Amino acid sequence: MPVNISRLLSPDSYTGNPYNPNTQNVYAYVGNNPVNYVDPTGHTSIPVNYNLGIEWSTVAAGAGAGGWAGSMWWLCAANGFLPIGDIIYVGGLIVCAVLVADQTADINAILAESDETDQTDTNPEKVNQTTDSLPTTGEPNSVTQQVDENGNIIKERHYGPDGRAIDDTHYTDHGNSKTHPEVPHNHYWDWSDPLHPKLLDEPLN
Amino acid sequence: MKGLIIKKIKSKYFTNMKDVFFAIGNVQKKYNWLITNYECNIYPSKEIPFTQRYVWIDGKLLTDIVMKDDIQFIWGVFSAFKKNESKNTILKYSLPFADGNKDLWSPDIHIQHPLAEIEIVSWDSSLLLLISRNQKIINSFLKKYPDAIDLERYNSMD
Repeated sequence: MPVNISRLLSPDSYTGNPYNPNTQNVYAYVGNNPVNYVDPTGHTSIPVNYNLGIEWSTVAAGAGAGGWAGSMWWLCAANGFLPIGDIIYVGGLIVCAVLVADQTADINAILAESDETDQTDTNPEKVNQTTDSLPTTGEPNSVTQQVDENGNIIKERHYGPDGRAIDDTHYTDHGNSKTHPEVPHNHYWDWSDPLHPKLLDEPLN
Repeated sequence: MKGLIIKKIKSKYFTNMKDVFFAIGNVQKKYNWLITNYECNIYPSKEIPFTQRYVWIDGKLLTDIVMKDDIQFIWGVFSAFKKNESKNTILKYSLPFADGNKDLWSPDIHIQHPLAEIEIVSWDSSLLLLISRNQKIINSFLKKYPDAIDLERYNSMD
């Protein structure tokens, strides 16, 4: 993964969040925010401070173990009636080893969690297309697009985990730029009456 | 011919046709209706199915259907015809539509179907248009919704 150019050489398996355009470029590295995030697996971003903090503490613990072994050897020669120096020296080595193992476990845990996220990321939202009107319920976490006779997408409806429509995105001004100066524009589904959902111009608070 | 544009309505969503029929004094029962380019939140009646190019329906039956349930017509062009006009004659003309129809926003206000008496347009769950050959229907609506804007004036503004 060529972090230095902040761009993936092969497409990311995660195709992105439809509501966050920065996540939808499968060649973009960490959502084009390499200052604050890193991507240890090539699939998922994590905050750079968190990752670097653990890496540096691991380095410090490792360096501490090496330093202890290299600089505290004289304790072995400081034995009296009891091998006190040997005990302190070996105890120091054990403490350093435990610190290194603990930090390594933290990194492995983060990478494992990242891999679990990847498993869901590799199952992007299903996209259906129709030339008919859009239904108010659909497959959970899917998108249904309405296309015109030329195959152009004119509307799409996003469905949540329960299969209910969440919102609509319209890719035209419907012939009236005065009412819809911005294209695309969104509408929002209100399910407060589950038997009679309503499509609104603004999301409910 | 006069037209109105309505941006606030009693039900607070566009369009519950109960509001519209109440505002026009329930004259809808006197007509047959051609419903085109429609999309609803629910489809509780077989007379107004999920996908169909048009619905041809008697005004009394249409009234019964919309009064029974909270149907939101997200889109829909309702064209009213005198009861002596036959369906076959009416279908010889192009079906009225709302989505993408720039003529709706021209200062030259007109009903799309040449034989229709009234045209009611529910537009993108955002607003309502009412166009009528009969000024009394416009006046009746204005009594209930004095904030309605003259459509010719609205379409003449930049």
